[in-house]
Amino acid sequence: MRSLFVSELRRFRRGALVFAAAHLALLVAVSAFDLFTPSPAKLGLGAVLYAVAGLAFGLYQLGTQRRLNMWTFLVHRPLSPGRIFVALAGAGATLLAAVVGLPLLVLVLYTDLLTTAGLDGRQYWLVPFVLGHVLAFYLGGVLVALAPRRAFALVLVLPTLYLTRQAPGGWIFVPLALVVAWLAFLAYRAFKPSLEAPLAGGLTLAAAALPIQYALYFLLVAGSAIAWQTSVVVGEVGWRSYAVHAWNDHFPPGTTDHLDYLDARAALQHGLAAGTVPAAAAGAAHLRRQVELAEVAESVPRVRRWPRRDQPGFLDADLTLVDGEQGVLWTFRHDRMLFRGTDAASGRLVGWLGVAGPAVADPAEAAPLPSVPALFGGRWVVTGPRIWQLDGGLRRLVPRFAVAGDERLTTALDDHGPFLTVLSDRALYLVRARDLEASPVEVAPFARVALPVPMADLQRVQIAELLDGYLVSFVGGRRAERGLGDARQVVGELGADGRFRVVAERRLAPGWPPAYLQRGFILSPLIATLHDVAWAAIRGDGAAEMRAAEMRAALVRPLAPSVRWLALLVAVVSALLTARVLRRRGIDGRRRWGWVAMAAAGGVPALLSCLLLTPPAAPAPRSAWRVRLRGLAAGWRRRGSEGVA
Amino acid sequence: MPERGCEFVIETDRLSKRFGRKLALRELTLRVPRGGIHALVGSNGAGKSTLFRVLLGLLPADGGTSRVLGVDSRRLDPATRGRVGLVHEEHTLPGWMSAGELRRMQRGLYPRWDETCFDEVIGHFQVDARQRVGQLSRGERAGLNLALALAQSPELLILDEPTLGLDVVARQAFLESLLFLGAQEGRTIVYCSHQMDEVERVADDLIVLERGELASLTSPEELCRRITCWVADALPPVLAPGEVPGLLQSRTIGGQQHLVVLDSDDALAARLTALGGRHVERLPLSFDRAINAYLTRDHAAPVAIADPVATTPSAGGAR
Amino acid sequence: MITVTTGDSRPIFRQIIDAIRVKIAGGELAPGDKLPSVRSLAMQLTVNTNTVAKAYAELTAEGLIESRAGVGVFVSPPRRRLSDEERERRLAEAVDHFVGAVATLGFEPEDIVARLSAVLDDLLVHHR
Repeated sequence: MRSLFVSELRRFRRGALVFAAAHLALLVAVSAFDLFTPSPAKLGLGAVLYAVAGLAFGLYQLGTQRRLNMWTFLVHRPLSPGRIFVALAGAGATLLAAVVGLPLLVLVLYTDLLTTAGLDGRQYWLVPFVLGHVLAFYLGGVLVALAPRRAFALVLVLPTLYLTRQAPGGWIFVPLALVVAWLAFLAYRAFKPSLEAPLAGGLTLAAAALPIQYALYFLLVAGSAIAWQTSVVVGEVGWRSYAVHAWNDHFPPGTTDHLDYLDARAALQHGLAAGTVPAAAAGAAHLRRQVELAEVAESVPRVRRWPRRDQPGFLDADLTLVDGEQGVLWTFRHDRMLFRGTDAASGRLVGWLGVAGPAVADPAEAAPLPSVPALFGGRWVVTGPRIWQLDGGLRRLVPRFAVAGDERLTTALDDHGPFLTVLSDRALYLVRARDLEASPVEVAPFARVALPVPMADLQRVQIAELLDGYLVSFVGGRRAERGLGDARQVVGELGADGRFRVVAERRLAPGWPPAYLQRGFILSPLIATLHDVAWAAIRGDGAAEMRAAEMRAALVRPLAPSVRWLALLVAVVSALLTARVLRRRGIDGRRRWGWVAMAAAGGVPALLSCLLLTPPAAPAPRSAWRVRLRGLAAGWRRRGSEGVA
Repeated sequence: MPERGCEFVIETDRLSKRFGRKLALRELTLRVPRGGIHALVGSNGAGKSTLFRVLLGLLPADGGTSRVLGVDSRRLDPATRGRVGLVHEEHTLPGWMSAGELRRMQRGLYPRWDETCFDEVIGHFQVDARQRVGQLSRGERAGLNLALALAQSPELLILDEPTLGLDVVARQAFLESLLFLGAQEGRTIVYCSHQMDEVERVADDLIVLERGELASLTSPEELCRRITCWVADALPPVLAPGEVPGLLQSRTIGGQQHLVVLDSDDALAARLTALGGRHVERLPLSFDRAINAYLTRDHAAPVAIADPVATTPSAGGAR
Repeated sequence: MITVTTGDSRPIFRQIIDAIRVKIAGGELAPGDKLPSVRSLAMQLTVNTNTVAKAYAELTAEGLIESRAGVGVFVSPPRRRLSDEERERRLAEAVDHFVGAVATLGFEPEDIVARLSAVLDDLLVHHR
């Protein structure tokens, strides 16, 4: 086994050197664009490039070995296929570690140790993450090269499990490790002397079927969305006007989708239009007139998920305050929990900024922030319960607003002219602009409105200044499409006395029929549930209880009757079709029941995966009389030619 | 556990394999006994390469079973694989390795590696240990492949058209190495080839495959003995099937009918005369012509070869 | 030395037998001469050793050659090897064959016989 491992390493030694050098050169060239402050574009491009590199290598390495006579030489030897696979894949992984990991490590070390800026320790997570990512796609490429059917390429949906998740902190490595292990297992099982034989073994088939079903599920869900929406549009305006169709006309009032297309004033008016609380009915018309004329401001919760200390760098949101006037860039650093200021032009260190006092040269003297902040608008620094404002001239962080206890803010101070608003996870606060200007430090709000709609459901807040007081509208329904939570719009009057009275309340329904919204569940109850539970589990939106509640909700989701019947119908039809397919293909007994059970739970994707993973039936042999006819015809032809001669 | 002294090195029982609609192996039942050199012949498409791939577990069969050294092909364990050597016509070896590296790798893998055998065989070919396999000519690669295969000390050695594309010198060197360093007590060799002169030299035993089925398994002389060539003039050009039992091949050359017949006796002479033939004679047949006729018996016959000179039949039927 | 050709109408082992027989009959191989071993003749001709072994076996059965353990294969001393019937049968067969071959050539019988005697005298003189 070791000689095979070494020989495979030697096979690529020249290529490895070339690619490692090229990779390093590329990193050096691109490092001018600051690789360590992420943006979606950088992350996306990087993920794609590394994925393609890993995939291409896996396909090439095993693709060349897979050709019949090379394969014979590789496999026909006194070494078990498992060990041959370990030798080859081990060599591939080692090469990738050298070609991908080493240059990255060199870059990280260089940036940390040899530049003045340095790096946080957490930025080193980038190296194992990228390595794991490349390895996952490498193993995917190996699997696709070895697999008996091309459909196995669908298994490459697995890496999205870690690419699209935003697990808190270092937990991102859990799905990554899981995906790598999963693909390694499948590739190991696909490595057998007879490449054309189908994969065998219950566990193997399940391990192959689930990702394939997952990929098909996404394709079907997306495809059905396109099909449905196209048919709706065509039904309404016909083919010719398809391009100019505007969705905002489609949804009736009282739906969340309708509200999405309304601006602040229209949204407020929408809330007043129906569902008026009787006590306020008398003044409703008066209110509506005022709303037509008043300025309507809007605030949206911005921070739903707080960054964690020492989370991997590529998960960061924006961490830099740009002070244009002073020409200073303040970058937040996890290692010290301080802002590090550098001159925008020269890059020279300006100082370290904490929460107590001005920026200082020695970071040990500055007071660190209590947690990793969210940054807004170039000057607001928000941690959980506090808002600071950056004073560029004095180089200080001035505390401006605070909430008590374990209440958490979700916005900074949103400026709406004469007043500002702050949203926390429990209440809306209003602050007078002149109070803010007058006070050098923390400012007290003049009104606090407890959220009538929980923060998890809150989408927008509209505030209109009236002659005497304010009119506030809270729009819920954020989780309405999943059938969860509070789908209401609540409009209330905030009087001069600071009391909030509900004036109108309106139920909101989803804009689409439940069958459309739950089409994932109809197509495959199993995958839809697994997907939602897994998502809820590592969502990290909020507290643990919230997570548990979401997981429970995903498991026991509320279903409209139509959805229930449709899902049942699809399940039964899928199971029956699967049974029929398996009978045609001669698969009986426990295996057949296993597939049928999976089809009943997994619906259409399960049926499709059964078609893909089970060996097709042998084509019917030519019937005897056709053979004889053919023989006779050949005989006639022969006679004819001989006769002529 | 496979017993060491199993009687048949290759056993198949109603082995079938189809590619799409075409049956490459058609319920093939074959038993190759241990020892000696067995030649496997058959026209293209007879299923020879398919048979080897199924035997070594590289291709799944559609029906029936096959065993190599007593072990089922689908469950070949590494130890048994180490006892079976394979030399294929392409002589595909990892091109990026040098001959010496390849030898070292194989030496580490096979427990019964015979270094002296390797040296002796490779001595017939001009292969330097430092040369990269990718740069060797076909003949040199064939020699290296054979040396590697023989040095493994296999119990069963399968060669699938190994001399195809080799020049005369390489071919001679290959055959010599195979016959005198390869053929040994206790070792079975299965030699698959189209080159009838090689088969004639090499075979103890002749296995004929046709259309995925076993057509014959005897010694070469026995099969040849059964095949004779009858020449006659003035036979009707088209013979109804059944008029000449055992007819393998019928050609009209220069006005005469040449009939190659299986299992004929002297009664056939009378029969041909009765059909109108004159100057009925028996011609001696070489091995390759006999086997060729046997292999092509069901294939479409070509149009008769007309004598380019004759428009008038020559008197006396010149031979 | 002995040569064999593929593509001949006789199998290889028969070619070897005939060649050795002719050499013994013609005196090239005298009684007591050592023949090449099975293996070395096979190497020389590049044929399967079993083929040579088969040829040697038949020649031994006919009594033309004999193998002495540990030493090698030698031409046997001349002696009566075949029964009278067998010799008679073989002569009759050869005569038939010969007559059939020369009958239509258009030679006079006396000429044929004279030619035949001359050749035989030549051959058998050497043999003694």
